[in-house]
Amino acid sequence: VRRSLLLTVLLALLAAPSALAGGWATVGLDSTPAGVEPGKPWNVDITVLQHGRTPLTGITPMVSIESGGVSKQFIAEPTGEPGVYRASVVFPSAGTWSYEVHDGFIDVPHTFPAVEISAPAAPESGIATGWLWGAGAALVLALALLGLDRRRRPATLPHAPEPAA
Amino acid sequence: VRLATAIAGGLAVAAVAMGVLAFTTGDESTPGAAMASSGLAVWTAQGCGSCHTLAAANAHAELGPDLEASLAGRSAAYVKRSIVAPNAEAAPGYTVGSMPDDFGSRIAPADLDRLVSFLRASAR
Repeated sequence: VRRSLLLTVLLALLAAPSALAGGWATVGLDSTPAGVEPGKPWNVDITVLQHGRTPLTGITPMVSIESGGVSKQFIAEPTGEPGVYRASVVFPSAGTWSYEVHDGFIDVPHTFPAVEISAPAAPESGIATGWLWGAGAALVLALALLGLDRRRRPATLPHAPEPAA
Repeated sequence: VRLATAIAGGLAVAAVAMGVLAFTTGDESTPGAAMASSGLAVWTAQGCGSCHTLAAANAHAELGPDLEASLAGRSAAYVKRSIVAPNAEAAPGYTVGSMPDDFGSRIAPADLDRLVSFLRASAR
């Protein structure tokens, strides 16, 4: 019994959270997927810093996305800059997607706010509607003023010739 | 030229000008730009959620203090000091020294202000 108790304590010590042993890292993203359309890539640079200070090399971070039971993973590749990795994430459909990053250093996901992925909006007309409304209003007002002016103006018909005596 | 006719003429000219502007300026609303420069974007870029808990950022890490609790009701100056000089004072239950003390040089002043605003709004 004593031996198994000792073994249990040893195993517990070995399995202690790596964070407590100083093994933790921060994950920073250079962008969020806000505004990304379904099917289009979100190219994100992931900066992984051990203890929030030292760039971590030789790891394989991964971006994991999930929505309505559908989940996908995207492996990030080194960019060449120490501690910076790049992933190309594609949200397959519109909807609310949660995403998190696994830094590849310790098995603790870094979470971020869920994002709404929307289908592309109707193409912009390129017309500033405010100015268009203003133009219409000014035109209507001008026509109304002209109409009013014409109604008030006395008729200027040429004098009929005097009948001959 | 009567006054009404003159005003109508002026309005017609204005209408033409506004029509031209309508087709040349386009719609200038850019909702994505606001998001890109928000405090949440700064939070995300700096990896704050790797250590702290903050519901507004869907962050649940426990290496550092829960910012909703530790920053609630705090002044902007206090929040800013907590970021740029974290070793000046530790939140209850935490010791100084864990948080990097170089965020003052890592984060641009305008971004720092956005982060502070975001944190204060989220920690109410």
